[in-house]
Amino acid sequence: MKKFGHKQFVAEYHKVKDKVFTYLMYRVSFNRDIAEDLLMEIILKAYENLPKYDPEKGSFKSWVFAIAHNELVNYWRGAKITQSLDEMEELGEKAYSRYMADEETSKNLENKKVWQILEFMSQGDKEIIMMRFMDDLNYDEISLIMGKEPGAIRTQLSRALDKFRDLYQKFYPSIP
Amino acid sequence: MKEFEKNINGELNELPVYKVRPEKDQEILKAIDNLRVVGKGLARGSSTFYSLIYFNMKKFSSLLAAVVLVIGVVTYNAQTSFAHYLEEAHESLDALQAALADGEISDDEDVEGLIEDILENTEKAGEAAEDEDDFEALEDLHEEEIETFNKTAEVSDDEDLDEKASDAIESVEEEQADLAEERDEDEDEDEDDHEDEDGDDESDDHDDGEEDHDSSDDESEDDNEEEEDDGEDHKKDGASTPSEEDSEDESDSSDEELDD
Repeated sequence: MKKFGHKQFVAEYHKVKDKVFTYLMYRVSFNRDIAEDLLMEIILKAYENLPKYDPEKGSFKSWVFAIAHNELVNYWRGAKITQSLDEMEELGEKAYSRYMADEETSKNLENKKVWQILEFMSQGDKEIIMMRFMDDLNYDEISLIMGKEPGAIRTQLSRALDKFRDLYQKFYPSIP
Repeated sequence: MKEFEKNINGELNELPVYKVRPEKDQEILKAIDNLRVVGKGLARGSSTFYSLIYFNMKKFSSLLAAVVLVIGVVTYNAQTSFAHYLEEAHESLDALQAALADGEISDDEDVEGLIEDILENTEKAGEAAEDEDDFEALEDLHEEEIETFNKTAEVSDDEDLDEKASDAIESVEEEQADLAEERDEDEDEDEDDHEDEDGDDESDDHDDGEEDHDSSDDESEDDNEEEEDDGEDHKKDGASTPSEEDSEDESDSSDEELDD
């Protein structure tokens, strides 16, 4: 196993930090404080587990994303976000208004359609669509992060996209 | 479907990318650095205490071993460890940099006290430095110190403080020179040891070449076993927290939804 030292870790951290941060922001209702705290925990956990990381078995990016995914699941579990439908809707509305209030985001008003639909999807479906198309992760990387076979990821994504398309056509019947 | 995927891809790619705030970025980098320093300090400290405890348990009694452990833990912070002094030096340096950033530099005793603290801890860290990582950390510290002392002299209107800062720069430069010398000596020693070892190995090889060959085979087998173990670790480590269960749960729930 190749040794991955402190300096290399810091260099790789600079490459992935904004990607991981963006990944977290979209998953914690754009709450910057929570996303930054989670990022800190993820990076420190990665550093502590550095001796176990083998660059020959996967990219640093996918390894850190796997840790991020785990931390996020723990956060969701702790925050008990998945409760009643009313609470889910309320959270979705809050996230959407925070998203729209964001200065960077308001420049891209056209994107609201996609985001609005994603907010109506289950956490698992939303997650896999975002990983593939937003975080630009390939099937192998998603498979490593989620701990599933690439084939299963393809199937899950295909089903999620079907649901997404149904919702899209329901919300925007005029758009093909 | 392909066209549809393309559209989603395009739209999602246009969503904004968020950046970590610089102050948080610095906080994370500092935390990583602290983790490195503390980790090394603990590793060194623990090996010393384990040896002491083992020795006492063997020779005297477990009670004495417990006493040694307590004394060891209490006095650990007071030990002349590299990590401790490096951290102290960095803390004083940070305080001085903060004062410079606020533009509150004067002949105030606090500033002079900070400079003295930095120099004292840097010197002690230099004495406690042991390996290449320590030397590298010291090198970074020295560079940061010279930069900060230069700025102190630049910003200050007070002659005494100017002089103090200039003396501090000289002192750090001397430390740098000592460090370079020590590293050279270490390198020379390593080379000598290496040459000696090579010589011994050669003579051993001539004496019993077959045995050596066998043992090298054993070693390579061991290496292979270790590699296999590491591979298993890697598979688990990304998902060492309950991700596998969670993702399975998620997929199960999505499957259930579909079945419904």
